[in-house]
Formats: sequence, C-alpha cells, structure tokens
Amino acid sequence: MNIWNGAGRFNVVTHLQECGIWSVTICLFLCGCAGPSTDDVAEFGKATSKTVTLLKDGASLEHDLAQRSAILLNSCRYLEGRSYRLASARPSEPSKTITEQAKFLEALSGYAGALSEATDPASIAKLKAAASEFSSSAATLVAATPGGVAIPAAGSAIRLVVNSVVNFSEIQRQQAIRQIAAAVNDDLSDGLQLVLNDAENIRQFHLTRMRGWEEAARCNLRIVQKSSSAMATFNAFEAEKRLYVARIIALDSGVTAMGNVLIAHDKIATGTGDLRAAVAELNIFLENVLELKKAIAQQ
Amino acid sequence: VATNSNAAIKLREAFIALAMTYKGGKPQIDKSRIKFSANCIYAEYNAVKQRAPSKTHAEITGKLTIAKGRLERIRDDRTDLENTLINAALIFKTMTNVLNLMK
Repeated sequence: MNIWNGAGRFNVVTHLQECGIWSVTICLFLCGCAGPSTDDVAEFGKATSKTVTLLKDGASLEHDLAQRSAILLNSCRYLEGRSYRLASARPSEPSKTITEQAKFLEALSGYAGALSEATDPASIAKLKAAASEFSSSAATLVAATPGGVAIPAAGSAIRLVVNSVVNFSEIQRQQAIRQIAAAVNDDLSDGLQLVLNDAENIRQFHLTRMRGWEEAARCNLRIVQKSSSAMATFNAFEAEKRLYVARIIALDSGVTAMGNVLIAHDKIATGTGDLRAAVAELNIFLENVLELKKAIAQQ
Repeated sequence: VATNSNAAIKLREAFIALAMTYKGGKPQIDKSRIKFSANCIYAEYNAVKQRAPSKTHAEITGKLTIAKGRLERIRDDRTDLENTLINAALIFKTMTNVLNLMK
C-alpha cells in the first residue's frame, strides 16, 4: 500500500516495519492533524471564486466595448448610406496585460478549487468508511478461517492497524497541503503586486475603449436625432454607458479584493488567526462592491 | 524578537495593507504614491527573504498550475487508497463466502 509523504509515495508496509506499528499508533494520538481546516478551505475557495469573477470582468468589459464599438461604427455607416459590414469582427486585439491577468485569475480559481477538493471533508469521510468496511470484512474472514475462532481479538487488532494506517496517511496528506499553501503564499503576493501595478494601465485602456464606443454611439445619435426613435435610442445608449462606467468603477476595487484573498490564504498557509472571520469580511466586501455596481447602473 | 523572519512577516503585512488602500475615487496622485510606496516595501520584503519575485502573470500562472496539480495528486491519492480498501473488502467477503461453503 503506497501513501503520500509530500515529496512522493512510500510503501506503508516497509515503513511500518522500520518504525514499528505501535510507535505509529502512539504518534497518531500525540501529533494530531497538522493540516488546514477543511471547512475553512472550502469557504476560502468560494470567496476566491467571487474575487476572480470581479476581476475577470476586466477582460469581459474590454471585449464588450470593442465588440459594441465595431457594431455601432457599422450601423453608423449604414445610416449614412456608406458601405458597412454585418457581424463584423472586433477592430483591435485585446490588451496583452488583460489577457495575461485573465489567465492568472483562471489559475488562481483552479488552485482554490483544487485546495478545496484536496481537503474535502466528504472524501475524507468516504475514506474512513472504506477503512471501516475493510476492517469488518477482514475480521469476518479471519473468523471464517479454520482456527480463526481461536483468536477473538483479531477483529479489534485489524481495526486498530487499518485505522492507524488510514489516519497516518491522512496526516501526511494534510501536512503536504499546508506545505503547498505555504509555497503558494509568496506567489499570491507577487500576484497582488502585479494586479496593483497593472490597475491604472488597465483602467486607462478601458477608458480609451469607452471613448471609442462613445464616438460610435454619438455618430448613431446624430443621425437618428430627427427621427421618432431618437429618444429611445438616446435612452438606450445612456443606460449602456452607465453600465460600462459601473463596471470600470467596480474593477477599481480589484486590488483590495485581491489583498483580502491573500489575508484569507495566509491563514491556511500558516494556520493562524480566525479564517472564518476573514472570509466573512471578504464576502461582505464583495457584496458591497456588487451593490455599488448596481447602484451606479441605476442612477 | 527582531529576526529577518519577523521583519519579513511585518513587511509583507505592510505591503498588503498599503496595496489594499488603492481604491477608486482617490485622486490619481494618491494612487501613484500608494503604488510607489507599496512597491518599495515589497522590494524590501523580497530583499529580506532573499527571493526573486515573479515578474509576469504567466510566471505566477505556471506556479499556481503546478500547485493545483500537486493538490489534485493528493486528492487522487486519497481516492486510490479508498478504492484499494473497497476492492480488498470485496475480495475478503468473497473469500469468506467460499470458506463458509467449505465448512
């Protein structure tokens, strides 16, 4: 039977022969589990996913603005009686920074999901149930074996050994998870620095894109000004711009949201502080950002 | 106790706290100052820890993907052990039935 030891796998039987089964069993009682709290990690995963959704809107916004500008420029050409294209491609490539940041956020989301799955209480419970099933069937087999009746303590001995091996392997896994989280901590700090340093460039990029959209929108408004649909068109563009402005303002909270993710992750990596409270604060903050976005759009 | 390790922890905390004050609605000059100061503190943190930070999103993406793979291996390792125990339990049950028939 092979189990995880952080750097790779090792053979349980060999290890038990080296250390002695009883020293392992005693260690299980004394050491306890050094891994992160499974419930807290699951909440961290949920909170990270919200932050990633908030920040990733940068890439969606850029695409929406570029696409709408292309459509509006063509509708303007159509209304002016010039040549136009339907279903035209966006005129320019997305910013490399935004594309790379979106990939980083995707990876962060994947990491948080994997962290959540690796510490999933349900999978740990299933392993313990399998161990229990194994112990019961092994004890029944021993009892059915000729001479098995003569060793009535065999059932509890098997159960003790199997539980020890399963618990020991789980402790190894939890320690490995903590080591991985500790190593990722600095990568996330680097991520925060990049998000901070790119924030203004990305904002300026969005403002430039929005100016392009507005120019195309104004061209349409000018042409339909005398028609009966003028006010409806005006109101539609007005509402559309408010939504874009709200999204740009919400993105400005991305650095703070990323900082909160780091604080929550610190607790997993170092095992200190009240993670539940940190995650709760992060969730409140993100809900406030979403409310802010809605409020701006409705103004 | 004043150690490099404690200094690094404090510098990192200061970097995160300062970066988090970078929000919309602030004058651009304030945002630039926050960015400059946070970068100085972070450079100090990296110097104390003697580490070279990742300079691109792609670099961090790679590291996070590796960490994700290692976590998935841990998850799979647990599932493998569970399956091994379930399969062994089934074999034991079959053997028990055979032994009972032979009695």
